[in-house]
Amino acid sequence: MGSLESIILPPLLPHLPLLPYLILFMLSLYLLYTGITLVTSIASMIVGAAGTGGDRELADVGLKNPVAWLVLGVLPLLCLIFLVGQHLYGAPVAAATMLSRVALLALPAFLGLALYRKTRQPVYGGPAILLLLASTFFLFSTLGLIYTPERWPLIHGPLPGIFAVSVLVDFMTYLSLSVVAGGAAILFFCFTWPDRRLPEDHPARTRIAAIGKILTLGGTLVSLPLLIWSLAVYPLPSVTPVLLKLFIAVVFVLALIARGTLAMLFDGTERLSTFVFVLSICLLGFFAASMTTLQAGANREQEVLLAQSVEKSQQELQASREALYASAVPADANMGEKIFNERCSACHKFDVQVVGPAYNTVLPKYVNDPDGLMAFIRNPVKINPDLPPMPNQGLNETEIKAVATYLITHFEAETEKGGTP
Amino acid sequence: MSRRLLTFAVLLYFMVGLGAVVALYTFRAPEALAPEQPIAFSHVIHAGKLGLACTHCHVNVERSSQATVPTLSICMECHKSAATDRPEVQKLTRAWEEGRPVEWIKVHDLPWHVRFTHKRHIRAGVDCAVCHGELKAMPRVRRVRSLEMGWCIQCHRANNAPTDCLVCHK
Repeated sequence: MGSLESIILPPLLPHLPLLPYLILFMLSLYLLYTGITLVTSIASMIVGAAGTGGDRELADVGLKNPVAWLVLGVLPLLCLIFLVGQHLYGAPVAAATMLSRVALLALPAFLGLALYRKTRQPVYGGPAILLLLASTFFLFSTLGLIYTPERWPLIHGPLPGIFAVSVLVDFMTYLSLSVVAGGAAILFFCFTWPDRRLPEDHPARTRIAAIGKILTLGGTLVSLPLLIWSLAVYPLPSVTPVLLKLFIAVVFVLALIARGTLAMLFDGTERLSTFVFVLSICLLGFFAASMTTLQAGANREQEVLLAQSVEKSQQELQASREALYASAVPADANMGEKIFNERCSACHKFDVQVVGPAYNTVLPKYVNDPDGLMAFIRNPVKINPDLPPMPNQGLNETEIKAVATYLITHFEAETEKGGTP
Repeated sequence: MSRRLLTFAVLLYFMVGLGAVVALYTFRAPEALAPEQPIAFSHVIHAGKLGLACTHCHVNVERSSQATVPTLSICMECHKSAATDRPEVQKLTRAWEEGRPVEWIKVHDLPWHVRFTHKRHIRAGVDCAVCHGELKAMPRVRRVRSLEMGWCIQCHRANNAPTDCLVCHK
């Protein structure tokens, strides 16, 4: 287990159903922003190396606002670490620790890109892009590990399962969808967004428009086979009907984006930039949703276990409070009767055998040995080979004492009345 | 190529892709991992809430190659009187009274050429959940492990278990 897992608290019951949505929201933000930044920075560096102008404008698409990379890049990633850690609380996988390694690579990458935007020196941009690519690949290897629980017992070393085929396909699919989103962002911010719109006489205007359209259209065409490939290699338990619906939505949105971009290419205008950009946001959102759906499909049992453990810890808390109260008040027969009715009466009656034996046949030996009865309730063992063993009822000491006292008192009272023991 | 023809070609490309996605999903059939059983037995209640040990019902798992589905008499030990008002328990009781076996659908099936023994894995201390997942959280049993050779071999290597072909293959 990683070091971070030890400090993560279990989620509370009302918080539990919210977790998948929070993870989806943060993952969408992170994947969208990182994808756009990555693609526009690479485009800016290529254009800068060719010396044809337009590199500043392209770098500005993802990096102009210094708050954006903090709010859309760094913060969602940090939130993801703890949200995923909570969602997989108790599972034998150190997902939070692995995501924190993603953040360790991503933070200097964002800083390097900010420096590149200021200086436009490849000496900052190149390593930053490599770092961001590495961190994104590691993010998908972590997500891939999360949706393949059968690999959890086999995790060894700090970079487990990094070269699984499904991880590689996820990474490539994400990169191609990022190309779509990056191209759409170039068209939107350089030609529609009022504050940043390029002037009509800008020398690189035509080139930037062509780059935006070609990236968007090319990305949509490449994404489709990758999506199909990924559906072919995902582990079967993580594939659910929801994933199919999301994939259909992704293909539908890709087709709409391609149609819009083609129209702009034929017209030589950028009139559909907003439409294409909004669709590309939906595209990355659907992709993030498919990642969380894979996780939810693979770890469906984790949610039940979490709910059970939360319920159990709340019951323990309640029981410890009751025990504290009961320590001031001696265990009474009313409490014992209540426990008998709630926990014992389904299987035991005094006079007849139900699932377990009749009390009248087994209690005589405990009349002078209440500690023996308490020990049996505390840790039940199979005594009569013809009857099923009694499950442990999970009672605390006060409850055990109360129910044992009730059973013996009730048995003695019935016997004195002349009942048949 | 004319504008209309190119647009049509691109849209056709995505339509074919859409068909491929649906066909691939249908071909892989993930629903088959969790078939509907003749009686909706829930491990969440028995192994989870009641906390019954796996060996309580799968009595042969420690001494046989098969874990064995419990016989109806094991179920009826408790269900002669427990939860008799539930429809699923009534189905069970009817089968018991008619002397008819419940035709459970096998979820964890291995090819004929694989020789797997439960007792050896249990004796080696392998937890049931390693191969079967968290059954105590499954309202309906589903297969959550690939049960493919590569996965078995990885675990055998990690635990210094034999990897000779004839250990697992007939």
